[in-house]
Amino acid sequence: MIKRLYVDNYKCFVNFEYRPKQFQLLYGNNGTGKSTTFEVFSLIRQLVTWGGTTEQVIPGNTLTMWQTRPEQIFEIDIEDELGVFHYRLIIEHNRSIGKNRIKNESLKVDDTILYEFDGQDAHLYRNDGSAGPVFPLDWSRSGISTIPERQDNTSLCRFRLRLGLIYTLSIDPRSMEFVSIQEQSAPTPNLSNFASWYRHLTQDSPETMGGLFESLQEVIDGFTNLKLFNTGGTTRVLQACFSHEGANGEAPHPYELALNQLSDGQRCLVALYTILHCAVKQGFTLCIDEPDNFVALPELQPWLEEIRDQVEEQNSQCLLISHHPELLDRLAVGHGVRFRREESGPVRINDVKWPDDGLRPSEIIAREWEE
Amino acid sequence: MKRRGVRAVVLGEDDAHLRFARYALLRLGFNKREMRLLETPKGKGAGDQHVRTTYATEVQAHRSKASSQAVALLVLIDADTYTIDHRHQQLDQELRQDGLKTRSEKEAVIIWTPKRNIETWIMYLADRKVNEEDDYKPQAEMLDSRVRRKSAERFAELIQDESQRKPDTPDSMRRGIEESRRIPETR
Repeated sequence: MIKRLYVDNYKCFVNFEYRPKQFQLLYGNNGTGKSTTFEVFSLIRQLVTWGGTTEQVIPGNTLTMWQTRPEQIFEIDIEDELGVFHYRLIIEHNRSIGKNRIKNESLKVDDTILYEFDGQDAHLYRNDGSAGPVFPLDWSRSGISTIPERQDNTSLCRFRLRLGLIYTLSIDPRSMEFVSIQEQSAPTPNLSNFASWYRHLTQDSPETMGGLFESLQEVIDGFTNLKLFNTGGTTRVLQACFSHEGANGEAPHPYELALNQLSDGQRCLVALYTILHCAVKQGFTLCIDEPDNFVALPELQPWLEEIRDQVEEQNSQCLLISHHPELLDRLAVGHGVRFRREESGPVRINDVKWPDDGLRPSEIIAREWEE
Repeated sequence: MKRRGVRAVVLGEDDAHLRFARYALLRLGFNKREMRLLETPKGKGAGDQHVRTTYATEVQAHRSKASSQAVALLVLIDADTYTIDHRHQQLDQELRQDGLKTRSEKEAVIIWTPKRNIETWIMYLADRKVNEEDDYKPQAEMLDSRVRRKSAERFAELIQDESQRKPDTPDSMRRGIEESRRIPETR
């Protein structure tokens, strides 16, 4: 579970600290840094887990516009069975030539150091904190992303794996591909690879499919199941299977629709319940930006209640961004965190004092009357 | 699966009430799309005031729908330091003030009035010794969410199966179980 995020000199974040809870709603006006928070999770993951370069992942235009300092700081604390991982990254930009580099990168679990890059050399440490090899390193990539797993560095590798379990998602039903060439183990942020991710899930966690289909049967009329149709070679087409109940005792009429033949809202429901049943697992952090988009009002509360249950039962973590009254009313007070900016300045998070007026939270937020 | 819309509206004081009711209804056979949890306005102070002020509106809406469809209105209000009867009288009074008839015997308007509060029920159903005078809120909040869910499910089982009830069942819970006979089509 992500316990803390610290960001300095990145876009609208200056000396910004956020301590997420297990289940939390991020709310606030447009441009207050909610989605950018998810973006930071994603960039750390891209850099450390997937080996992206600093210039690809953190280009110079991400520096805070009203700051002149060249350094950006990113820190993330992740709680795990091994302890709390503390990761720190300092990026130094050279504005005049448009280049950047890693100035410092370090990783600890509790107080035990696992890795440090000092701008020249990478210092590896064993699981017990004893010093290991020192070697020169390319400063445009995270050293942690390149280190092969060995018996004495399993803690470091676990952190890398753990970061890979942070999914930042903003479902775009019109981008969800219905054709899969091969399995993909994680969803892309807009779920464009949905068919390939689903294909992976059918192999990786087939036990979740029954619950998924049952949920979708409740929310999509006539739905029975999902199916990967083999069109030759390795290509599969993701289909939703339906059964149209015949009138006057006639036999039900089964039929299939490719994923792209479903409505936007139905595709979103397929995505939301797939996430709920297949990705809410121990160790995972799901960051979902506006899950309410495209979805009909009667479907929101049931999904919200169920994912909340699932997060608690699986000891997972889920962070949501929403402006929807349904989510604000249910979560803003007990499980909400308000993001705000004043005069286009840095993002701040503050405790909200709810006025004693009997209005619903969404109405108070609409009036900007929370203090 | 045939979709039937919301069949149970839940009016409660707070999140603990709503979640308890939801888990119990799920165990009673309602599916997740068949219930609607009414959120409490925040910052208003006492949740019981919200239940009382909303009750008449919801009863009116319930009666309008119940004439054509089997729907339930489930109301949760803690007795706190009052008697259960006092809470029921308060709710009756809300109806009279709005020119509505009080609940008839056959109406599917169910009132659960845990005494002292819902946490008393949760703790009892989690096999803790309780009385109806002490406030167990701090202890109940320490319980794992799975235990809290299990408590609500056990309450549903008590509704379904009288033989599971024990002699030490709190009085307010007995009343709650009796009230639950009003739930239509308890499956």
